[in-house]
Amino acid sequence: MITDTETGLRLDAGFVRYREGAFIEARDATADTADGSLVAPELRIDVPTLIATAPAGVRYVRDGLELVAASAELRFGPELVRFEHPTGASLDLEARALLLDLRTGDALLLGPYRFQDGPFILSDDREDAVLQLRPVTTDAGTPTYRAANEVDEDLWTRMAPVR
Amino acid sequence: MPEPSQDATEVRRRGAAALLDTPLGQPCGDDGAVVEIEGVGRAVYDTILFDGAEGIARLSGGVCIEVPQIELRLRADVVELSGLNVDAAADAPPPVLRAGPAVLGVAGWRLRVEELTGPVDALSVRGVIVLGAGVVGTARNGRFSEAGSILNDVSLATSDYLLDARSARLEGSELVLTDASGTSCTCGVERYRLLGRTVRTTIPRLGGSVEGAMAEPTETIIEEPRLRILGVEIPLGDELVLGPDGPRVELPVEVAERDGLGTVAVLRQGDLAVGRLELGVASEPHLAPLASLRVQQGGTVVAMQVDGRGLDLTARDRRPLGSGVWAEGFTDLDLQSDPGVLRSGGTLGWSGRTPVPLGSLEGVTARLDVRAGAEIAAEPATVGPGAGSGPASIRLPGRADARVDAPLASWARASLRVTGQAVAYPGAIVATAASGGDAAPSARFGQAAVSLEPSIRFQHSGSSLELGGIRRWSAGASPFAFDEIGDRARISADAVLAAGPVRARADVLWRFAPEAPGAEDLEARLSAPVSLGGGWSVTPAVEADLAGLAGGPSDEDWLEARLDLAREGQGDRARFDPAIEGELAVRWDAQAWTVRSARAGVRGSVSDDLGLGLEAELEPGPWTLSSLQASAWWPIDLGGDEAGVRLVPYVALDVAPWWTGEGGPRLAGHGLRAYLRDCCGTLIVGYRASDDDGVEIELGVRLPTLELGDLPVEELLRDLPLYGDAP
Repeated sequence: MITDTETGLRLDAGFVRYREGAFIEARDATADTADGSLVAPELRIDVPTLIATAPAGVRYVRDGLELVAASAELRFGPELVRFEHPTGASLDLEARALLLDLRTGDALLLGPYRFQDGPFILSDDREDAVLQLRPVTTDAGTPTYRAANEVDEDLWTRMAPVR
Repeated sequence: MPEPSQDATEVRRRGAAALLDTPLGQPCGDDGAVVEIEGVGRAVYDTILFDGAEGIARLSGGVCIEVPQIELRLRADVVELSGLNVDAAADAPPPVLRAGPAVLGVAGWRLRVEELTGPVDALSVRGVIVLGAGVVGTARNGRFSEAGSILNDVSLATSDYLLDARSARLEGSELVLTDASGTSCTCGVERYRLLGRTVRTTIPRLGGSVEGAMAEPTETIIEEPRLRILGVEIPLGDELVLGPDGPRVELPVEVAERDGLGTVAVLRQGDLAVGRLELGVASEPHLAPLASLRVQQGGTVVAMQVDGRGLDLTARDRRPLGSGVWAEGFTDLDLQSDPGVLRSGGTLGWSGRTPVPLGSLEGVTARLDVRAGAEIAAEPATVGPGAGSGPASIRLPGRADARVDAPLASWARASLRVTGQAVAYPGAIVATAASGGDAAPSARFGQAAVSLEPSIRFQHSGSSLELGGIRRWSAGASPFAFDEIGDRARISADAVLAAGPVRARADVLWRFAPEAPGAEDLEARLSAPVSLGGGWSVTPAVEADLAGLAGGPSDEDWLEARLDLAREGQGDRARFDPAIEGELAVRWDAQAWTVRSARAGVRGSVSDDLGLGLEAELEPGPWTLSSLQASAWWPIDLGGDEAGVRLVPYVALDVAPWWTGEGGPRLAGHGLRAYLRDCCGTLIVGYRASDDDGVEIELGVRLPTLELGDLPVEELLRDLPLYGDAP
């Protein structure tokens, strides 16, 4: 297990290869960030840029969100992650890509996408479609989202590194 | 997406009316941003804001929502939804929808609304504009739910009608207007308005080609119709039907033939079932005013009629007493007959009906009617030197009437009627004087009678045979003419044969002693139409009326052979397509077997307003032309398409005197029909007078049919402008 004090990342892997100041490569890795954990058969962290990439078989879990994706790119600096072709497990969710702010849980689905929250299914089959999801909680404590297909300026700017 | 040039062509091709048709017949798009809400429907939009915690959503920019459960399709710029609960339980209330200006198609309606709000399964709308194929209108508000669709305070305009109603409901494909009124006067001058408790009309569900998009004319039924004209409301009976053949209505004016009164023209007010007043004139027995009033309430009827024959007054009150028993009090004063009749008294009766078990016969029923009463009766002569005098007495009538009906088979039915009746005259019979002064005593009378009336009827397809008879025995006598019951023995047979096109009928009614034995009726006829193709047909027929040879009416002593030729018009207005009727007939004297007359005629018409006729009649011994009548009727149009008058004069000349050199042609008939046409419709007035048929007067109204179309079938542009966009 490796714990990085700078990023707060705890990396647990069956095999780790590390070159100081260059990269960390892990196999059968589980990377725990502050609010969730990412599991991938391969994970490479580029130390100078603090970008982690998982090229295949990604599984991500955090409170209220569980998904699998074809690949992922995690940026430790702005704490953003981009999942390619995510499919929700806890949520009925499909998209070309999911951009996630690890600190706030805010997310963008890039079209074509399909998103179900309770009895509501939002979808858009266009390549340039975007759905913004901001997590909220009902009075009954049920986690849900505030969804909009016009993205807030601040979130759009914040997601720039992974767009 | 179509080529831009194709779009422009398509838009130009569609008329202004089509542009008013919002694309409600088209489904919401199936690409782009879509939200599906379980149990509600789906929506497409440009932008959406959905807050799962608050349970609200705001859709904007060309929003199109489909709610299948109330057949709703809505287009608006902004739609707000609330009550969207992600914790939704099974019994959660449906989401609430709110929209500002919106266009919607719901259950066949096509509407633009100022505001729309409510649960998606029970939407309320306000500030409604109705847009449809051939109809525009407004409504103050409305409600659409699974229970039905209703609009309130509705005004609709079609190309031919302006309509107002307190409410409008769609029931299936039928539009029902309540407390409605309408007029076909669409050019600003409202000459009349029709009002009705309800107006029902069918909205045809269109299908097929663009060419078929015009709705077929359908019937519109107005219940409890009233006509408002010159500020006066005139009831038009129970129902008025506006159909493709024009309005079918009980007009407040009637011109008709009535027994004993000749031609009658009356203005009628009211309903026969409640109360009716008629004022007019009658041509017989001499031209005189006619006034008739009838009022009915429950079992009480008061009726009075005054015409050239005198006064007829009736008042009766009949009340059920339970178990089939009834009581009636009455007063009849009939001074129209000679002698006149005055009767006043009461009757107690019982009526019952019961099935009768009769061996293997099923469905046998018996009906029994028993009555007995007491009255005073007088029968004064109404004309002549003895006017005013006649018998008067207390009268005690009684009657029992039993009838048994037995269906013997599906093709045979028998019945037997037995009637017993008796009248007693207690006290003295007196003769009243004209001024009610002298009273002369007379003999006491009393009479009784029993009659049997068996009958049996066989029927198969269109053929039937009915055999019947009556035997009545009577005793005593009556001082009153209306009371006279004589002995009678008669048998009757009525046979109808329908075999293919052949039709035959024989009708016999034969009297036996104590009446003078002989035939009352002795008639037979046979006809067999043959179609010749091309709309032509020929019908040979023979007919005989022979009662005069066996003690019947003296003028019933002839046989006739006839050949009718007819051509029906095919309804083709584009070419000469006349309807033609021809007749060739010879009538023989049945006793002398000599020809009594021969006649021939032909009559051709291109329409009701254009035709020619020629009829000739010859009489033998020696053969002379007794009549040669030429007739013609033709239209004369004055005015334009919007308003005008069509006059159709009719002239018939008998040129036989001119032909035979006995004189000039003689006017045998004349007439005039006028169509007064304006934006309200067409008023038809006319008369026709002829030697054979007397005077006939015609009065009618022709109104356009009410046509409402369904959603357009025309294929709209694929890339439609959404609400709020420039078209």
